[in-house]
Amino acid sequence: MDGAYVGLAPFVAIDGLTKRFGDHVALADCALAIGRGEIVTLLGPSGCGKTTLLRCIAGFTEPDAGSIAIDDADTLALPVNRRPVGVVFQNYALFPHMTVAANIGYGLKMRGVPKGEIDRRVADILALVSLSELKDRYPIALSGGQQQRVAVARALVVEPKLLLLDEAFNALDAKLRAGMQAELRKLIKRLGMTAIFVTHDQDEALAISDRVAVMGSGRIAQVANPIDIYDRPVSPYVAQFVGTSNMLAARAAGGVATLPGGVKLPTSYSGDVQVLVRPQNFEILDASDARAGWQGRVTFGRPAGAIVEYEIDAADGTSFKIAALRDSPAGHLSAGTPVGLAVRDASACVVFEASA
Amino acid sequence: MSGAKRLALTDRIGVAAIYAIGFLSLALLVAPSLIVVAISFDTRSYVSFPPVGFTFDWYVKLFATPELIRAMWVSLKVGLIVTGLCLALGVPTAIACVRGRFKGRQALSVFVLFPHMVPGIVLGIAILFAGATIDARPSIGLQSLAVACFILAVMIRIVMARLMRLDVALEEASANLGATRLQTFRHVVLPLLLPAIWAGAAFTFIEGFDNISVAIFTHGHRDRPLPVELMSLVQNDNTPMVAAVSAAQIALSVVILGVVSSTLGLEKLND
Repeated sequence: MDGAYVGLAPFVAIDGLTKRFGDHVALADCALAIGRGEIVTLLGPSGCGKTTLLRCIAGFTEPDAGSIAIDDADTLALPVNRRPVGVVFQNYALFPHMTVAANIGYGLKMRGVPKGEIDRRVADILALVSLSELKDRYPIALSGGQQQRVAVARALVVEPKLLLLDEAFNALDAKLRAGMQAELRKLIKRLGMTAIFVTHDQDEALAISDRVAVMGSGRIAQVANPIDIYDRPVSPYVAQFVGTSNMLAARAAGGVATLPGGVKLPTSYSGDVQVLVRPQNFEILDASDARAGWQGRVTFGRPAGAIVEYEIDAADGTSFKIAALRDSPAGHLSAGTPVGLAVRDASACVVFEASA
Repeated sequence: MSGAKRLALTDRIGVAAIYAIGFLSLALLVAPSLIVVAISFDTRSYVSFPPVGFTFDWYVKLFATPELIRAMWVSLKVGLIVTGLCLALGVPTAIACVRGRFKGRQALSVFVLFPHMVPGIVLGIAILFAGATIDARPSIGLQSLAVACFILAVMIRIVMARLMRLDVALEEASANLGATRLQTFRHVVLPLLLPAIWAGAAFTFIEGFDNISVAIFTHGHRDRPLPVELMSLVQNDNTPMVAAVSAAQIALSVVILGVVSSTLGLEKLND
């Protein structure tokens, strides 16, 4: 399968994981294989099961069924304080009554590491995350970004086999977020650490991971690299959760689905189908252009940096979300302008069964 | 826009009323203590205000009265035993009520407050009669047990309130970093609970020292605690020595509050 783990025995192997809270099914038969040194993101809306999956791996939640193995060792058999995983919590969960150095050294102290070695390893990791000069501060005196680095350092210093990060960037403001994402990815890659991020933020998932696992209703809907998740979603759910999408109704017959404007898409389905067209895969034409598959009017234009995002309503009531380069002829359309729309690249469209 | 700068008349009356109520409340809180302290230095041999002279005689007399000294020791012992009992029983109970995963947890956390809801006199009589059935006579031990039973709820509530505001993720983080449950308690939960525990200890000590409603039925016949002694003093000879004893107690409370506020910060009592 596209995006499935390929290689030797996976480093992290999750299979058949199921968890119910009363009537609510938080995890339904989840399977996921992760390679050594890979960064995987669990992406989904709140309540999709991603946090429950993370908590099962860490040992905070006991699954009803299934197995988790890390480096070929049965992880579920281990108590929470013996699992080879480091967790970076959503709000970092730094100990407020301990300095930065004491927070980071805590795990080593609990393991009975001699004081001298604790000091040395804490100093090393502080240098790695560029926090050496803040080692005597208390968490309350740190910025959000600094707190996050302390939390990461605290999880890494005990040398876990797997790093788990729960909405690690949530508490940071948007400006800081992109920089910290890139920095953290580089750090994890440099250390060769295997990591699982949990997030509801698709931009974060696409920016930071080698592969993305999109989750919904306690199941993993698709696991693939970020580009395939965007370009080749396996279901309308994945398509709509990642990126902006236009889902167009069409008919398929004889192995071909046809969109207005004569665009032909090969498909194995027949009858009613849905076709995914991404916003930048539309060409905005003059209303009179013969190539146009749809006629409509601009209802709304929102400049977003180098592109403009338009909302265009067709005569039949369909609403399109369309992106155009701002320095193109279609970059300066005012509301009410009549336009024609055509699909640029048929091969970039994805056909789904209508009932899917 | 002169109206924006000057408050409307009704608002000014409101502000004045708030100030008035504030000063009145402060006066009601502080004035009785000040009056008691003032009377304790009076030269007359009966209680009256304002004092007409100044003398330390009543304090000298107080420390020369063996029953009062003995009563102070009894109250001190009761205060310490009550504090010890409340720490030993209250802190674990509070943790069980907040972090526990057992049936009846909710019921327990309501039930432990019950003795505090019963009037102290009723509780005192109940414990006196209950003690009699198992041959536990009125004594420092029975009195301490009774007062601890009465005031335990305060310790539990203070610690519970703090614990409920403690992020569970801190305990999970500790476990994730390799700590056993005991280590997590020792290094994370306990240090963060300490302000609440100290506050609870201060309140329970003062109650143990000062309680009369429960103590009056349960104290030992030879071991009369200070409040009981003081009450008979007021009934029998109403000299300013009563005020001197009260002033000494006020001093003790001020010292305890001073220690708590300088080591923990008074604002942490509300945490």
